[in-house]
Amino acid sequence: MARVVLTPPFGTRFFGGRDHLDIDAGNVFALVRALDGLAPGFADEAGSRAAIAVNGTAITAWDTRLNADSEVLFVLRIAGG
Amino acid sequence: MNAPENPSRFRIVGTRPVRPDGIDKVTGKAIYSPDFAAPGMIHGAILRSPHAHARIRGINTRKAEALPGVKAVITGRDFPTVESLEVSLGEGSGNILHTSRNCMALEKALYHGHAVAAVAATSEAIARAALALIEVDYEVLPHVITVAEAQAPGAPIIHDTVFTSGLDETPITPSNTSSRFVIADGDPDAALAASAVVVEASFSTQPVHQCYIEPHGCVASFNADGQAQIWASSQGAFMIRDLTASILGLRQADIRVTPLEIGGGFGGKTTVYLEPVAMLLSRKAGRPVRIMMTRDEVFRASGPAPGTEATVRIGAAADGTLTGAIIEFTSRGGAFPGADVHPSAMHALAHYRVPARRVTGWEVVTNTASTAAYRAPGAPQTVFPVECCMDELATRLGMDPIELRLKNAVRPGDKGLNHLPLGAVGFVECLEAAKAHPHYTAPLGPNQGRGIAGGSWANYGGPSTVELSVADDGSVLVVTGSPDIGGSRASMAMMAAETLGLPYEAVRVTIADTSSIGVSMATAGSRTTFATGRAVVDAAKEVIAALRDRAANIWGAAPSGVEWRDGAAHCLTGDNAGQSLSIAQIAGRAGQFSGQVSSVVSVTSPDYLPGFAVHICDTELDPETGHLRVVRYTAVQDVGRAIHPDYVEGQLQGGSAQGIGWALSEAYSFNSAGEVENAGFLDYRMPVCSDLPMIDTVMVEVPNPGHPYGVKGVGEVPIVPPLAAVAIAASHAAGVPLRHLPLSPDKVYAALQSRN
Repeated sequence: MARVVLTPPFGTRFFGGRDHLDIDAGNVFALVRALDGLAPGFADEAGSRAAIAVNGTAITAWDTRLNADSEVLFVLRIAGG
Repeated sequence: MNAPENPSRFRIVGTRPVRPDGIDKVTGKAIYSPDFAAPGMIHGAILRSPHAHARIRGINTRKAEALPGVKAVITGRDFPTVESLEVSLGEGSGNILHTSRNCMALEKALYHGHAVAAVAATSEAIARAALALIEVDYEVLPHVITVAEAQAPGAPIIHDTVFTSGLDETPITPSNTSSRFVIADGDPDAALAASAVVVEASFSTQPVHQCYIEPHGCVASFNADGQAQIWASSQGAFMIRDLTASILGLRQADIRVTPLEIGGGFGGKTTVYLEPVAMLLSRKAGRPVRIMMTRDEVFRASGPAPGTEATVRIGAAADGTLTGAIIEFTSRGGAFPGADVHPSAMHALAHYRVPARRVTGWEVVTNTASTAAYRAPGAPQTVFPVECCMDELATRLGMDPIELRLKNAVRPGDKGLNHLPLGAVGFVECLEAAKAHPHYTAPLGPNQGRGIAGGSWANYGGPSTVELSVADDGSVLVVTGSPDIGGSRASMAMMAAETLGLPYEAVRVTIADTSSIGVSMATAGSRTTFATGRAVVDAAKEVIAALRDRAANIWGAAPSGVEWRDGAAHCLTGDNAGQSLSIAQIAGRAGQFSGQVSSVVSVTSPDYLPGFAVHICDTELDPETGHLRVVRYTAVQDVGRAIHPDYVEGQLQGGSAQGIGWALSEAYSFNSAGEVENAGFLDYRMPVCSDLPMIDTVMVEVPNPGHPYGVKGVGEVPIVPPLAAVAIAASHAAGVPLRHLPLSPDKVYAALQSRN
């Protein structure tokens, strides 16, 4: 199971304040689908506002593969000027 | 200047060639938004609310429509219904319904200057005359301008649909407090209780405008077949296209946006105000429509940075090691939610190791123009109080302020604001460079004080697309979709020429329209030299591979036996060993191959790195008037690697100047009706050259290993430290803490009187 780390506001807004979850998923797409199943609306929010890192490395491709010991971090994207 | 003079192995990167767009810009040939005209074009003007908060009971446009020369009149009812939806705007996001309503009010006008109707006519004078004929039936509502007013019991609620987000329990009543954002690590209460020294203080900053010299402007043209064009000055033509399409329900491919030159943006041109309005007018009138904001409209109706009120508690052990911090701040968001609360919270302490922290940010909506991004959005407002407290900590501990910062500075491998380990960041190097700079130890004169402050900005990568092609004569064309705000034509040409081994002048760069090149995110987030530059280098490498392959074919050699060097292919093996073919000799034989050599590369680069800066400021106080003057200023910054040092230094100087204005003189003045009283450069006091000393720059180069030439974003960090650097210097000069910006003479004089 991949370990999902949820930083504010994703944990509070969608998962009752939890800061991590364990989800079985083959890639980030599947992971986000699974999370959206648990908390409808999460997929849209992640698509528009989240930056994602897998195992400590920022990724942009949601087809990035996950395995049982992957750690996936969701953090708010920072807008710039 | 203390720029390294191209100390590296590069031929072109790090040099200072003349910018390719320079002649057009200094001779007036460059086409900015007021310069552009389309055949058959007519002129638009916008009617704006004379009330800070009012319900629109009805709008009668018949008299305006009857005025000779008027071709179209629209109101909010002409806008399609869009649902409240958070959409991706590249690196950030926004609610498309709010963006639409900010372009034109529907049920309520939410600030003085909010658009309520628009006219297109055969002349601007007729359009403005027609505005006076539009009758709007307003029900004037009580308004709120400040955070205190907006949060007062019984305050008028601006939006019935806004409920405070980010609370532990979902509220059931709407509120002007639109969101809460919390970052917490460890137990900061216990950490502060156990600290040897704790500094606690309250601070405030005011909303300030980006003050780009060129007002917002565009021309829109809608065709009967549904295809449309926009010519606009903005930070992102694709952003203009996508937002206009979303607001008006059009297909993105049906809108072609041509970027015009941009006379400054600083974040304020990363959204739309006029384009959907001009497009609706054009659709109704059947003619292209130009709308230009006046300076007055820019101040009243385009977004400033939010002002912030903050309370900081920060503690340290006796040796100066930070132990914990608790920060709570409230940002004034303007008419619609979306102020920069989370980047404010995330950047407040991002440059220090603080083992226990709790940063709580609140956003409050008010009857003022909706805020917009401004250079490092949100960071200056929270780094200002933190850095002021760091200075007070240093005083209390008897430590040198740079030594205190060095003791606590983040280093590579520390957890960054995105929870990932920091890469090759150079905050320590900046602090060391500041400490070694002659400015830091120079004697001060009477009534002078010195301040030092640091700060960081996350920077960004994002998508960029580049096409690079080789003409038959061997010259090179680079096409990008990134508007050139800070000299990116030059830096793109330099990186392409460096990679290809060609002279700088052999490469020309074009900024294309949205139908001529793939997507590039806006020139924002300090991303263009990093991300678009990476696409340029990747495209150049693909072209080199193709040129080597062609040379190998011409020689009958294996491609592995051909080396690319100094803009030419060199044969290393076989009968032709020792021969070379220039890029022109290969490109001129395009007809013998599959056509011109070219490459299109799209990248989305996640390996950007944050930038760090340290500024030193000396101020001089006139104790009889409270007037403060900056007499010496030095900006030190980790720039990764400066592709064109002139432009990097310009970013450091420009950001510093804007930050100094924020600290000393810039603020909106509202009257009791909620109307901006200083909507012009005579009364809104941004600094001019005579207000500032020469701003010295020190470019510290800690290259980013994630970029072929080591680039880091440089455009935003320089506005982060100045607020604190100036305020600390002023506080030392005055002998009393000055914590509420701007430090206008009346405020400083009052503080001097209270001290005495």
